Amino acid sequence: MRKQDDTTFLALLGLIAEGARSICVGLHITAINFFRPSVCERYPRRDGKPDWQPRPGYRGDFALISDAERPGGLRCIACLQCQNICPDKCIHITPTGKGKERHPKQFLIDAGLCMYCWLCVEVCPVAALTMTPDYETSTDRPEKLIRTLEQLRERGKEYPEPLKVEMARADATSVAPTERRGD
Amino acid sequence: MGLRELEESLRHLPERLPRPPDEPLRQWARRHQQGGLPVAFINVADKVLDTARACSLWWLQFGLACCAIESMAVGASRYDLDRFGIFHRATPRQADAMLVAGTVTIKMAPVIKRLYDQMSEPRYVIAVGNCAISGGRFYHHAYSVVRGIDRVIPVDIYIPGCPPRPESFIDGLRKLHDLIRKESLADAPARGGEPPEEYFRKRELP
Amino acid sequence: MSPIGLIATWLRALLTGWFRAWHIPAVFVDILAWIVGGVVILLMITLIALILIYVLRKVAAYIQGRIGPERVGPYGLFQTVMDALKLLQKEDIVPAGADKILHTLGPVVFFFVCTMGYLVIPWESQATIARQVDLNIGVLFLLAFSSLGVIGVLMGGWGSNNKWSLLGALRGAAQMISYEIPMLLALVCVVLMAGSLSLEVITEQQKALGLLSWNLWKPWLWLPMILFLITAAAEINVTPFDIPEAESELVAGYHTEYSGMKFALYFLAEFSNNFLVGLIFAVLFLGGWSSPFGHPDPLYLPEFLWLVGKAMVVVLFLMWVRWTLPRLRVDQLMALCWKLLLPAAFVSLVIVSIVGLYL
Repeated sequence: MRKQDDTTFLALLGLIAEGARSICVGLHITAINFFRPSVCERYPRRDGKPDWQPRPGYRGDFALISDAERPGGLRCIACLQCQNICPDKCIHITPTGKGKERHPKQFLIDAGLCMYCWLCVEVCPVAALTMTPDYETSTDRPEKLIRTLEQLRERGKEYPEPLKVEMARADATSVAPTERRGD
Repeated sequence: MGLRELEESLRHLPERLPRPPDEPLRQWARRHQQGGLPVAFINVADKVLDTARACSLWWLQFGLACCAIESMAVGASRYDLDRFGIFHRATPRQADAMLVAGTVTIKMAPVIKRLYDQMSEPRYVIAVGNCAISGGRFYHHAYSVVRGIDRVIPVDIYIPGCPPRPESFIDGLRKLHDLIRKESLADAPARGGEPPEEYFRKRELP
Repeated sequence: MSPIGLIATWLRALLTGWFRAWHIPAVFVDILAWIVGGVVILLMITLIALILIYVLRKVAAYIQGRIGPERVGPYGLFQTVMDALKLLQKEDIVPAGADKILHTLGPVVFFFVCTMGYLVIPWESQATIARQVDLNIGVLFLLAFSSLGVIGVLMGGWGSNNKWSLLGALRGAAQMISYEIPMLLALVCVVLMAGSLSLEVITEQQKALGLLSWNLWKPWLWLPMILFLITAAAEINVTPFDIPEAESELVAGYHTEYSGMKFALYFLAEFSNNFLVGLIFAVLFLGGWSSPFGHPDPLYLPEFLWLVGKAMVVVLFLMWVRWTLPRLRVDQLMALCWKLLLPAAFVSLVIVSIVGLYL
């Protein structure tokens, strides 16, 4: 009720009617929404349909791209550019070999420290490091979050090319509206 | 105060009452682990009770930073957590799991420890996002950030990401379900009182 | 058809015969009947709470565009059972410095009070549980026990040694006490029209022509009906009146410090209260156990099914309102009660008195 109770009786009735009307409008909206299909993505799906796949350029877990001709089997030349540019200092590389034979003996990325900024991928001169669309990476020990050379090599076999990030075009208007799912 | 003083002070917070003695059921289960009828009963009881705990995980509604927004999004309509029976409760007494989502500052760390102490057993902690795992992007050069919540409370599941995708979230919760399902009546009692030393982990890369 | 009444009468006759043959005084039949009735009510409340909690989560989910529990059992039907089993395993914490007796008895008192209302509801034409004592003051009984619910809330809040629990409990107590007055007046209107305080008599008067003789269709009872719905919703703390357990305001209100089975008891009591309000509304305004097709029910359905069905409709309507309206602030709550509902209740009393004189 308002502080100054100088409403007339008719005005009070009008207020009550207005309140009842707004409640009914709200109930109508809720009732309609009850019967609309849900927008829920039922991850993880159990009905056979494929799970959500990230769009290309999604920054998930790391991978080192393979190259059979080079020593070490990776494109990486251990130039330490990614280690130097990383803002969180989560990459540690031990290089070995001389000249054209230079390759990493040990390559550690701490996925629990990284902020997924993509600078290491951008700066790599040979496009050896990439981020994959792997997002299921939770563990029960934080030490398991440190990616070693072998793990990176394994994941690199599934993603033979670095995935490029699409920069937004200058004339892009807006994100396409999500259609409601029918399940 | 600095990080070292914080860590020292947090180890001796007298917030929690002494833990009650071990329940008779657990003592009985530990004594009869060898074989025979009690083992069958213990196995069935384990399965039922663990399934109940995993299927009805109530988490503490408590958010710190950007990962909290992500956790709100996971609870919302598009990636519904209520499908798994996971539901938020406002009070730590009724919560099973604490989702530490976001950057933990030095000012907030004693509060988190107090909330953890107030939670009733059995309780689990999930560190969401790299700031809660290790301080994340603030590990170097930040004067006010605790480098990882596991310096303060013991953590069960780490979900990396900055912030993690909602699907990654749900995957982490499923790993927590697997952890819960492996627990048994005959184990040592759930963590209570002060966490053991190994949980206070110094973060160093080899 | 009234199966409960028939079974009860048959059992009673059987037991009376046996007890007479074994030379046991006849009063023990009554005592046994009361015990059995009590156990049946408790089981029924547990079952109803189980179903209602699941229905609430699903309805909330569908209104909000998501899906409720779906992974625990087929369509998520076992969710509440798992919740109950999990609450059994939680540690029971009594806060330091809390009054142990109050802390423990708070949920017990609240649950007891919410359960007592089920005694006077006429489930079928011959089966009110309290028929033994021929309770002809059913409405008064209900009002008395809903007033006692305040004590359970206050015990929970005070016995927690927590200022926010106390604040939540005090707000809850103020709300429940204030909203009883318009509720009382609305119920008095119905009692005036029916001429009796007994719920059985009120139901009997609504059974003659089926749907048409329900109190729903009498225009002079529409204002009491709306008033009762609003005030009963305030009594059971549903949104928009759930300020005692508002999460963003007071952590969890009066049950902040409760964990495990004590909290489960509070939860159960709330849902049983919810269903009780549905039952009372069905009995007073929707004809109780009478079917909409006339008194000798042409479908031969058990009468308690009609009652439970009508109560469920009311409960679903309250859930619908719950997920539509935002929460009222505590001063808006009190203003609504004392400045709007109470004068409206007096007006309805006057209208019903005049109609009762000339009808």
